[in-house]
Amino acid sequence: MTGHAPESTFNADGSRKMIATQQQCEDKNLPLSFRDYCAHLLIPLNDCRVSTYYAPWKCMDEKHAYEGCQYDEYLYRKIKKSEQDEAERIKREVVIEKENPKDRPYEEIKLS
Amino acid sequence: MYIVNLILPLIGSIITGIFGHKLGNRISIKIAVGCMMLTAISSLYIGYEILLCNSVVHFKLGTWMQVGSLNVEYGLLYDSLTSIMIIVITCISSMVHLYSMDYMKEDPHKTRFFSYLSLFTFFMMLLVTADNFVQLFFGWEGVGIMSYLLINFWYTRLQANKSALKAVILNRFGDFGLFFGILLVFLVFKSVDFSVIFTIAPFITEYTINLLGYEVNAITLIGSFIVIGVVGKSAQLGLHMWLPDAMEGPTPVSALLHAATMVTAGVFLVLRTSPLLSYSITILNILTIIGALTTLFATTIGIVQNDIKRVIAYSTCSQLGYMIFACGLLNYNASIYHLTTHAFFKALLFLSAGSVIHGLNDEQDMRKMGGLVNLMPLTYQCMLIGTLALTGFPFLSGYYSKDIILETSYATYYWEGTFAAIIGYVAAFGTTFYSFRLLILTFFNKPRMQYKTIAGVHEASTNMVIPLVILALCSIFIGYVTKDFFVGLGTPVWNNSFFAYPYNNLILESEVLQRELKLLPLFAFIYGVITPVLFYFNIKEDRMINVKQNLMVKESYFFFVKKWYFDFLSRVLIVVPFFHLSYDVMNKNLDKGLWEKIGVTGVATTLVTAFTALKLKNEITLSTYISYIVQTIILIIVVGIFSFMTGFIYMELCIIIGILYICLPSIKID
Repeated sequence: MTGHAPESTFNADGSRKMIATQQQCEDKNLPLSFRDYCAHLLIPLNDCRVSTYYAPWKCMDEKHAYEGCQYDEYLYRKIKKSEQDEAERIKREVVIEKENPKDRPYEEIKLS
Repeated sequence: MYIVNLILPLIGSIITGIFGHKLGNRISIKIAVGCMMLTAISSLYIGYEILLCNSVVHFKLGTWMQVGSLNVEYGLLYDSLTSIMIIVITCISSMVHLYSMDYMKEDPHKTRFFSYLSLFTFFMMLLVTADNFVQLFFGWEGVGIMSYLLINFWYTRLQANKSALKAVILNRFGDFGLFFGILLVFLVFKSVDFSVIFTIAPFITEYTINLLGYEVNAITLIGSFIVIGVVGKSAQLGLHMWLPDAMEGPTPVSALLHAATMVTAGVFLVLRTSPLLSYSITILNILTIIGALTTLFATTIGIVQNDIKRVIAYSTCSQLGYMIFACGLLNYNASIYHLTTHAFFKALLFLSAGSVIHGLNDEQDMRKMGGLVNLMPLTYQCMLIGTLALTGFPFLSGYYSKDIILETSYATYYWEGTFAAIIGYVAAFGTTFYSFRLLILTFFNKPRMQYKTIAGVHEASTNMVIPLVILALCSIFIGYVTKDFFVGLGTPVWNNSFFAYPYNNLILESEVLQRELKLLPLFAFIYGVITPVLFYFNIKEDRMINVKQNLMVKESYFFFVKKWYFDFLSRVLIVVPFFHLSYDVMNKNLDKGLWEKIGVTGVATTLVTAFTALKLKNEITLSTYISYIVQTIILIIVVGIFSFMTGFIYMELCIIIGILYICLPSIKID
């Protein structure tokens, strides 16, 4: 079902795409904290779990696909966090510069 | 099916308890064991229906009481949490019943024992199947009473009497907290039904109660009392003192009550009320800290214990701390997972210890054991499997459940989680240390028993071996088989049994932790095995001399042996003042002494004291003395006339005035 090239969760313009709908998540009783962008892979995984009575040695393909998706989400969160940290750092530097104009000696010389 | 599942243990208990001697010991015990096994089979079927077929069952049986807005009904709620609990309770209870058939074979009161055991199981199932707080409280009290009766089963032993009283009194403190919690729940929600309470809880998170002039959050206040109940029942730090002393009961009682079922009632209460407690961050932090400190406390004391059952009892206390702090970190499915696996391998350890004690003619001191690996090979194998599962040996049951608690503790990235994770990792080493110390002292070292005892050592009989083997297989496989079921990513099993805020997704975060943290429990295991081997394996004096002489080691040992002075402090600060208040003040001076003090005896004593004091004054002459006596007699006659009109109290008052008049030495009338 999932194959080696799972459906991408990104649109062509880079925005996120929720493949599983809200109704599908509710119909399948997905836990609230797992209704994320990998939910479309969790639904077949849970179906397989129920049909095989939660045997841990079954459903390997679905589990692998789902965990792969979650790992990609984790890497995406790391990238987003790095970008956010960088933006915060730049903003902080600008504020520091505004608050300390005397750090630039030519300004001080000009004023005097 | 559901009502029969609940009633069968009660039926077995009644038949065995009341008609046991008429039917004969053998038949009545088989009836009790048969009822319990039927209950276990029906529990497994119920688990199939609810867990695998995803159909929650909730029905009402009738009205219990209806007073104003208080409406308490008999209701049964079988959801995912209940199903797991009844499977654990009934399976462990069946194993313990089967084991006890031979363990208690020579006891003259074994029908009473089986009756108590079945009745306890009934109350425990009543607790976990309740759909409202009052019914839950009924089961909660029931398991407390049955705990007293089972610990005190050999009631001719003084130590058993004291331990049973200790258990019931300390549990009573916790029960008092739970009782107040239930009253507050009714005050706030106007209902005791779980469905009503959990539905309304999200809408009253800002509701406050004015308490002594302070505005206290309602859910935090309710949660604080529920936490007191949890602390008492699950033997957490503060009300923990009863659990090690509960080992005075028969070993099957320890395996059932103090490893698998009764002590987990507190954890169950937290899980059941998670839709309510999850809205109070304060209560969750308190649970985390209490659980973590309990884990550390019990682990350090277990290291220095010499009674084989007390080592395992402190191990139980430690593992309960793991479950509690997992709940405090909103990691409910890891907590129930550890509860389930722990029930199997801890029951296995207790029953194996029972085989050892049984074979050694009731010797419980590990320092007087040794060399049993060849004399009791099957018991040794079961003990080894249980120990490896407990210490988290890779791919056994405890490996899966304990490690996920440790990893998710760190994955919270808050200081409470880090605090709990550090203590958890340290306790993992401590658990391995005392568990392998137990194995080495009991099975590996040279025998230190009398020859007569060694000659009498024997392996357990068939009915004792079958539960050991079954529990050993469960300890090996149940963690792996149920891993996806309990803690798999996105598992749909739990439905609405638990509630936590959706952004608390610790299991997902724990998947991507650093490798060092994932390997740390394995290193704790390795060091935990090497250390007791170095120090306890065929102890050599030259190796131990430096340890014994080290001041820090001696002070630490003393601190741990004294149980961190909790017993001492509770005695000095609570018990002794309480006894003084209740006996010297209340009993002697109030209950018995009040009317004597102000009545006839008191007056006579006072008069005698006064006259005796009067006689010691040498400066009073005889004529003065006669003068005082005559005036007193005249005064009494006059007062006597008035006493018929004014009553007893007035007479008392006049007599007192007369006494004062007599005792004033400065007045002289000559």
